[in-house]
Amino acid sequence: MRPESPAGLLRSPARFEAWFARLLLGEAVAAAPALRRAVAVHANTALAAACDALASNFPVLCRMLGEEAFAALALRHAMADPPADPRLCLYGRHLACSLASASELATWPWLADIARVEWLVVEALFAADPPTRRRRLTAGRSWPLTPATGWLLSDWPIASLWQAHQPGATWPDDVPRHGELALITRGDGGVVVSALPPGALPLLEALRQRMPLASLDAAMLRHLPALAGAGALVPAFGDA
Amino acid sequence: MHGTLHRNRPVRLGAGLGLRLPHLAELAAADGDHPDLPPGLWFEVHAENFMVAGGPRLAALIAVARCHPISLHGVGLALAGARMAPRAHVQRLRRLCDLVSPVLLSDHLAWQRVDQAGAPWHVPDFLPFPRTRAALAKTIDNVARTQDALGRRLLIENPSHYADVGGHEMPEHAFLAELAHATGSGLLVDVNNIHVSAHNLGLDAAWLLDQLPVSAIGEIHVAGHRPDGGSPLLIDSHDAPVTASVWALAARLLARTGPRPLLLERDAELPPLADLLAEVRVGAALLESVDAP
Repeated sequence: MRPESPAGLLRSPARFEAWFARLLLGEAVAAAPALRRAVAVHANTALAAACDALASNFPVLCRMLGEEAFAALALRHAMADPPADPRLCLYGRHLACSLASASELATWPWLADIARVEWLVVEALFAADPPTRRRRLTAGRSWPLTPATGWLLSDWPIASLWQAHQPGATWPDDVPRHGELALITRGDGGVVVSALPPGALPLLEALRQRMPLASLDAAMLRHLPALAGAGALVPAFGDA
Repeated sequence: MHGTLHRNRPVRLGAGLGLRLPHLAELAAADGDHPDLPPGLWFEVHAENFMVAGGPRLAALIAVARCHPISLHGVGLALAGARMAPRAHVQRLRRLCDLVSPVLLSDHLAWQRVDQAGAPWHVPDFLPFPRTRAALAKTIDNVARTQDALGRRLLIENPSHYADVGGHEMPEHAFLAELAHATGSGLLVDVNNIHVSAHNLGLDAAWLLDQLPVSAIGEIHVAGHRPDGGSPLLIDSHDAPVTASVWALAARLLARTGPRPLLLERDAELPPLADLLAEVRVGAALLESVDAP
């Protein structure tokens, strides 16, 4: 193919961008070698930024896989699902899907759920701050969850695994062999992942749906202190 | 210019530092009383890292902004693009401006939205384009709309180039000058970008610098670069100390402009804060040697 001058043919910004994008995406477009080198620099810069963001946003996964394997996964994900949002601190929502489809990782089936937990950690880190004024509770009202609160029920001990891979953590003597309900909350010390009994799930779902406290049954309500203690609920007072 | 812009806070800025996340918590914890900070130090942060609803990172920035002037430097407005950043992105930037009252607000002369099989890919880099009249008109429109939406004046950063895409109808300095004149925006001159571009395109960096319209220049960046492995290119990598060549270019520009806010950028291979502050002092000394024109 004869190298073509993009500017000679593509006078409108939109048409030039479409042409350059094909180069950036590695399509077979004729271009001078110097321009190809430049495009490679831009592509590398963009992909490196995306991969760095994934490593920053998914540190537990990175520790589990090792830096080399994580870098390969991140690059594959960045090429298939590149960031659409300039806020790279919020990049990686779909990394769990890339993990689930990675055949070489099929023997580590818990990794996708770890990625989902880490995504909830990212969301918790940047969620809105809870109201500083305490809310008065009554039986007829719901007790709101804080904006940072999230959870994931898994067939794997995801909360224990997340905790064991925190900086400075020691590997527990006995990692649970059952699934866990991971609760993600944000306190003054940062985001915390803790394990709740699976029976707490209906309460979390009910609170997400803003159901009044009076409508919750006793089996749900017995988990309320654990949620309050974990910082999952907005500060409140009252006699409900 | 389409609307009324309020100029950002009238603060006389000297030498500043690009504040990266590993150093942010250290500063926020010091609550304005960090022992190593020279008086008058200001910081610039990447706006996108803080365009979030809440949380400790945003709180730390707000805490630092109580004690130091803050400049917001964006990599997401796609000001030279056929497609601008989404409106929600601009609205989030406006909210951040309201929270930290930046003394400067800047972004890049670049297009950044690539269509990949119908899905947008935001490329946080200076994607090049032919400097045509059509591109200038589009960029003027983008900058004017964005300034109107933000209610603030933008500084536009000159790009670094790795190849000449060709098809230009005007040189870069003329493009930037017309853009600034038409929109009331200013220029953020990244001297390292000039150095890297001149090397990569076989141009004279000093000559390029001398063509820039002095009156529009509102901020100057210095940063490090590195040679590309396997090609003769220099990469605008921000992962090394500022070279003597770049400091010399900064001095040359300052001799024309007089004192201007001078910022040290370092984005990778981050040394301890004290090392960066020592480099900032080089910039401060440079500014002290400059007489107001």
